[in-house]
Parts: sequence; C-alpha cells; structure tokens
Amino acid sequence: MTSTLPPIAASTDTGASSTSASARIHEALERIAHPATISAPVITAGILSWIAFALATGFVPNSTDLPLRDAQSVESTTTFTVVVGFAVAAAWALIWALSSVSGRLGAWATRRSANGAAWLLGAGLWALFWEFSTAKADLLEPPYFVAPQEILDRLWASRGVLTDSLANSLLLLAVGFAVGLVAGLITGVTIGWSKRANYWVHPILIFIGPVPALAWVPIAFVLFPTAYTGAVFMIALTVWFPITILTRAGILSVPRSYFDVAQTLGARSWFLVLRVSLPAALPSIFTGAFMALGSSFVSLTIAENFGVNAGLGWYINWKKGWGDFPGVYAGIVVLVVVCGVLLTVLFRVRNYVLRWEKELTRW
Amino acid sequence: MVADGPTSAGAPIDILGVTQAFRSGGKDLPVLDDVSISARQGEFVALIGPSGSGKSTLLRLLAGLDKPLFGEVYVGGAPVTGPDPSRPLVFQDPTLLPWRTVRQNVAVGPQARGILKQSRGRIDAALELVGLTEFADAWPAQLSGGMAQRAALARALVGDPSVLLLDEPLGKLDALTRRVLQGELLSLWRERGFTAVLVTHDVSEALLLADRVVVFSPRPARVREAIDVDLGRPRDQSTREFNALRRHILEILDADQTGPDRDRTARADHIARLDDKEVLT
Ligand SMILES: Nc1ncnc2c1ncn2[C@@H]1O[C@H](COP(=O)(O)OP(=O)(O)O)[C@@H](O)[C@H]1O
Ligand SMILES: [Mg+2]
Repeated sequence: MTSTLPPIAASTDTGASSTSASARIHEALERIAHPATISAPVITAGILSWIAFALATGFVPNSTDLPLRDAQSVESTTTFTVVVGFAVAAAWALIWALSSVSGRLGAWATRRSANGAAWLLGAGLWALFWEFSTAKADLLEPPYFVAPQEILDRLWASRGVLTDSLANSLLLLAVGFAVGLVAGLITGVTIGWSKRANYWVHPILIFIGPVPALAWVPIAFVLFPTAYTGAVFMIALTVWFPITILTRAGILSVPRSYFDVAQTLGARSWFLVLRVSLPAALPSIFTGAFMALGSSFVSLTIAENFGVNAGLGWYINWKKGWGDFPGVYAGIVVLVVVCGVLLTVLFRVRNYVLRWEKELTRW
Repeated sequence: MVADGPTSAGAPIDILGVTQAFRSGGKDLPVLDDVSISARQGEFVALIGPSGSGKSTLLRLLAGLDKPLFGEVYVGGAPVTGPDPSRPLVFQDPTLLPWRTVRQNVAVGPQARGILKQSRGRIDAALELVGLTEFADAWPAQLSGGMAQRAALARALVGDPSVLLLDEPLGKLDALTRRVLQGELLSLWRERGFTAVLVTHDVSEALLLADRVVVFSPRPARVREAIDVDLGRPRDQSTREFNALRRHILEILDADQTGPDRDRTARADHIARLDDKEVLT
C-alpha cells in the first residue's frame, strides 16, 4: 500500500496581506503575553493618597498631647517626610506617564503601573492612617506607637551605627550561610550517593537538624573559641540541615535512566555525581536554600544577641533596652528590607539557574 | 544488506547461552532463558517479542549496564564487562538531561571522557547529521518528540559507536515522524556501518530496517525464530514477500499469546490481513 500524503497547502497570500496578518498575530500574542491593564482610577487615587499624606503631614497641626521627646523628633523630620510623600506621588505619576512610551521602557512602566497601583493606594491610605493616629491625633500612644517621622528621624540620626550593624549582620550571615551551604551540599551528596554514609549520617541528621538555634546558644558560645565562630556555627547549622535534607532527597529522586545514559556514554563516578546527580537535584536544593535563608535570619538575630553584640539584631535589642521605640522600629525597618532583598536575590538566582525548567515554549 | 554500507566501523556480537533473572516482590523472576544470538559486523538485527518478555533486559546486558546470571556476552570478540561509549543505548524516552542544551547533551560523551575540546567538530557534525544545527542551543523541554529523539541519536553517534543499541526508539512517536526517522536511522546505519540492535514492537518496522528479525517467546524469553530478511533495499512494504514475512512473524507472536490479550491480537491480525488483501489485489 503506497500511501500518498496530501501536499502541503500552498500559501496564496500576497506579501502585503501576510505582513498585516503577522502584525495582527503579533498584537494578539502581545495581549496574551502582557495582559497588564492599568486602572486609571486606582493609580490616580494612589497618587492622590500620597499627596494627601504629604499635605496632612505638613499642614495639619501635631497633637499637643505628644511627649516632648516625640514632639521634637516629629517636628525635626516633618519637612523631609513631606518631601518623601510628594516624591512617591511624583515617581508614580512619572511611571504612569512612561507607560504610554513604546519599547522596553514603556513595557516596563506599564507592568509597574498595572501591578503596583493597588499597593500604591493601599500603602498611601495606611500612611495617612498611621500619620493621623500617631502624630496628629495621638490615638495610638507613645512610646510603643510612633509616628512615621520619628522612624525616619532615627534612621537618619543613627545612620552610622545602623550602617555598621548592617555590615556586621551581612558579613556574619554570608559567612555562616556559605559554610552551611557547602557543608550541606557535601553531606547531602555524600549520603544521597553512598548507602554506608547514609547509614551513619542520616540518624544524626534527623536528631541534630531540627534542634532550634536558641537551644545551641549555651553550647555554641562555650565550645567555640570566640563568640564569632560560635555564631557562624549556629547559622551554618541551621543552613546545613535543610540543604542536606533536600540535596539528599533531590539526589535520591534522580531517574535511573539518566545514570544509564551517562554511563553508556562513558561517564565515571565523578561525572555521575557532579554532572548528573547534582544538576538534577538543583530544583530540590533551591527549595532547601529558601528554607535555609529563612531560618538563617532567626539564628543570626539570636547569635547577635547572645554573644556577638553587634549587628541589626543586637541594635534592635539595645534600643529596646533604652526604651527607644523609634530606634527599635528603625532597626526593624532595615532588617525587613535586608530580608526582602536577600530573598528576592535568591529568587532571581533560582530563576536564572533553573531557566531550563521554565522555558517550555515548543518549536 | 551489509554490502550496502561501509563495513569498517561495526563490531560482531555474540550472545552465548545467556540466562537472566530478577528477584521481584520476593519471587524469582526468570527473564531470559538460555538465549543465544549472534550478529555479524555491521548487521542490522531487530528483536521483536511480547512486551515484558525481556528485550530491554537483553539490551542492558549488551550495553554492559547489567551482568547476566549465566552465559556470556561478547562484542567485537571481547567479553562485555561494563558500559562503554562504543556501545551506546538509545531509549524509548529520549532521556536528554533537561538542564543541558541540545548541544551540551550531545557533548555529554566527549565531556565525560575528557575529550570535549578536541570533539567540538564532531559534536557539530553529529548535530548536522540529525538536522538539529538550528536547535543546538534549545533546551530539551522545548523540543518536539521527534527532535528530542534525534538529539538522543546524535548523542549516541558522536562517539562513533561500533554497536548501536536501540530500545524502541521510535515507539512513542506519531506515525509520520516515525516514518521519517526510520529512513534517517537507515541512512545513518549505512553511512556509519555500525552494528545495530533494534528492539521494536512494530513488525513492519523490523522488516523495513533489519537484515534479520529475532522473535522472542513470552517471559522467560527464548529465541522462537531468527528470520533472515532477504529483501532488497530500499524496501517496499507492498510486495508479496514483505507481507509473507510479516504474516509469518505475526503468526509466531500470536501462537504465544494466551489469556485476555489473545482476542485483541487476533483482531489486530485480522485487520492486518484485511490490509494485506487490499494490497495484494
Ligand atoms: N531490575 C529489575 N528488577 C526486577 N524485575 C525486572 C528488572 N528489570 C526488568 N524486570 C522485569 O523483567 C521482565 C522483562 O522486562 P523487559 O526486559 O523490560 O521487557 P521488554 O521485553 O518489554 O523490554 C519484566 O517483567 C520486568 O518487570
Ligand atoms: Mg522494553
């Protein structure tokens, strides 16, 4: 039986009509790829809310019930806060305007405007409420509640100590995380690969790993020669555990066929470990890294308070000791920003390293 | 026929009285029962048999991934002691490493053997051979089934194998792609002259490609019959001889079927016969 295939339908389109057709297709795909639509009322309200915040901060008189210390602090930062309010409003107005520009900048601005509008409004309303409930009406009383100006005031006034603390925290975190990551990868690969190693290490892992960082404090700072090495140990330990568990799990779930293929192509043990197992386990390892980053912040702040006596965690507690709540909040603000930035960086790294997982467009 | 291709690269295969068994669920599971098969240098041998009979098991023995309980496996006159890049295995699933681009996948062999630098040209040539030059930098997840299988072929061919082991490599592809790849496989075999062992469940495919078709019994597999395919190349599926061979193989396979599968195969065979009539009249 000789089957004949139907001839491929010849295109009868003229050049001109096919380009307009492809332009139409391009547009339709654009709409699907970037469904971003900017809601003019929401972004307008958002910008207005920040203008309202700036005006209210600048022109509504402060409560006369504020304690002297708070009143002075609020007073000295009011102009700056007003500028911040206007700056936020102006920045978003600019982004909104840019969204009508064509090209990559326009696309970026459109995405920002579409995604950020609701948050802009929400944050603006929150800032207004905050400003009124503290500085203006004194509904939420000092010292536990403080006006936004006071936090800005402290951030500026303590910039030297805060920068030092930030640097100390980041260095300690980086060293501890790096040690824990390397140790976790080595342990995870070893016990995922060798049954004998797994026999000895897995029980230890199961019992030692989940012990909370706080419980290590008495031991860590006694056993280690310096408080700093003790702190590195504590952070590394909390990183080591999730990395090890998830590296091992990742390696155990590598399909056997990958090894078969690599072996028939001439791969030996080292290639199988480093070039097959490890990359195949990467998605799982990144899950471990996210867990590790979260718990490393906990051990970092604990370590800073129980021996290292430097860093953001220490700064926050030190300020609390003095009853300086604006200072406490200032420290927390910096810490929150640091955690958010580090997590975002890890997400970016993951998305780049695992881009082979995501790009599923077929040819 | 062997004479069609250059005969330099292939290696002869001798499987001598191989018996293989596994322990599965606490029970002994005999899989291969005293199987002996030989292939000449550069011969194209197809293995066909009921599913679960032990065809993949035999290929794993040839690849050196497993060792037989009894019997010996020789390739090129030397006993098989382990995997070797001269005997690559291509699976039904392309099993490309998903974190490597197509080119990096083809480069796995050279890289594993520490000859990546010298092999750049060979890698490009292998990509060219299977028509994937344009997709060299694509991720495996972006490929269609046929392209992925081509990449797997390129990866196996880059080391210039003397024996190519193919475990239902076209089994999951659509009929059209399968036909195209059958043709490509054939021309690769002629060009390179390797000895090919192809496991397939498609009788026509076996007859279209192979010099010899070895038919297995159900598990534990024994060789039911080894059939020489004395048809010229290129082969024409519509000839009387082709269909006679096809019917013969189907009859061997059918005779072995018992249980619930029997009806289905009988029906398939009936349909096959209808096809044949159409062709013959
Ligand atoms: N490593 C193994 N352990 C246990 N049983 C196995 C193993 N490999 C194959 N088998 C069994 O051997 C039989 C033959 O398998 P296989 O060679 O894959 O058959 P096929 O002819 O379909 O390729 C099947 O029943 C399968 O379950
Ligand atoms: Mg099989």
